[in-house]
Amino acid sequence: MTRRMVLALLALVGAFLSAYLTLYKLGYVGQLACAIGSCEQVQSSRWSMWLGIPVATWGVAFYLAVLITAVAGTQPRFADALGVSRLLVALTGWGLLFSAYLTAMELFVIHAICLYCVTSALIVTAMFVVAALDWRARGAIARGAPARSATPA
Amino acid sequence: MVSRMPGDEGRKRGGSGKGASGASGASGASGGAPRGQQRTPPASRSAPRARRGAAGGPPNQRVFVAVVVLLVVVGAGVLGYLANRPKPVAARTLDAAVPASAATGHTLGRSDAPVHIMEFADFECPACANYTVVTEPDVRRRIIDSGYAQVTYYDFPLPQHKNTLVASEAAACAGDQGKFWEMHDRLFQGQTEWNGETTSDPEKVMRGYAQTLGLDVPRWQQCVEQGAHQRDIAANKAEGEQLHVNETPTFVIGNRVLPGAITFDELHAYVDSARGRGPGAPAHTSAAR
Repeated sequence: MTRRMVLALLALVGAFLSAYLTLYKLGYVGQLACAIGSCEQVQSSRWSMWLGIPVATWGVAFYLAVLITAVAGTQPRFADALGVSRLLVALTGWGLLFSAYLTAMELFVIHAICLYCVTSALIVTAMFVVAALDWRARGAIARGAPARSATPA
Repeated sequence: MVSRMPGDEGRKRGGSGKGASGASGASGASGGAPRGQQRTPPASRSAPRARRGAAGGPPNQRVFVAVVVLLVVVGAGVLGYLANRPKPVAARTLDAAVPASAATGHTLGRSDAPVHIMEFADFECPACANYTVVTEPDVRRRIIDSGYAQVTYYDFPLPQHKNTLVASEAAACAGDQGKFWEMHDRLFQGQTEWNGETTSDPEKVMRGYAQTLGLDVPRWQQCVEQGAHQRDIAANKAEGEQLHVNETPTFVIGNRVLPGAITFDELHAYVDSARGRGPGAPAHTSAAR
């Protein structure tokens, strides 16, 4: 399985996680299943909204963007595209920064931890690492292939 | 978790002169299948893809698609179940079916405030005192006085606190003279002066508070000694028991029951949430922590 496929699968899991939290915010799933931490406290805080939209909903959009990009990147037409790798790194890098901000809010302002938020942060971190590895590999190929190839591209 | 991409491997082999493109240039250096390699265009970018397609690409893609389909089915199923399951009435959820008791509590704030906070507390409970002394001044100034919420204090005397009932009486009797909250604050501020560990005659200490607050002390004292508010205090506690309160302090904000100490930020967040959801929020969206 390629790195981009792994990215797509991680994004799919993250999208479902965010969808669950979005449904909670909209009042469709009742009480959050939260064995560890203070999920509802975090989800009820002012930091659970961004630009008037639940952060979880932004999360769904983010994960879907990564999912679509990663799936496109697995197609033969884009399989070697360095631009796709760059886009994935940019997307997941932004997600990583935003997750770090939210985690800091949980730890130092709300003083409560949401299990789902932590899981999402871990998924975003893993996605960023995989995207960076993909970028590095593609970059090495793009730099090295013409020089070492027996025939010019 | 991350396996090497077939395409990457093809490129690396190509880079070392043994891959598809390299083989095409080296004309059989890698040996075997000369006819197939001769048909491969030299330096073609499609060569690695052709290799990928022929040597594991499609099966890889099939596994990927299968996992995606599986995840989508399982994820959608779980979300569908969670969205459609009957909402359990949790122990920390207000039950709309419970009839209102005769408990009146002691209320502070504007009657038209959009959010109602219920506080169940015990005058001899240290955590309640901590909340009152440290957190409540901010709550009153920034939430109650600003008109965002109204708070009602309900006595929830715990059996292990032997002087707490006297304190509840002292505050309620001060309330008869319009100074419940002043006595409430004074009792919590001086909790260690009259609690069960300090004295067996708390009324003496509280009488001093009554004087300081400018109450009609003989009238106040008669009220306390007669236990004039015993039924009110019992009704307040019964109200908490109906809401499954079992520790102090416990706050009810909107339809959320919050047991234990709470910070200003937490309380403010719940008030914000209750304001956003409105006072008629469904009971199933309850329960913090």
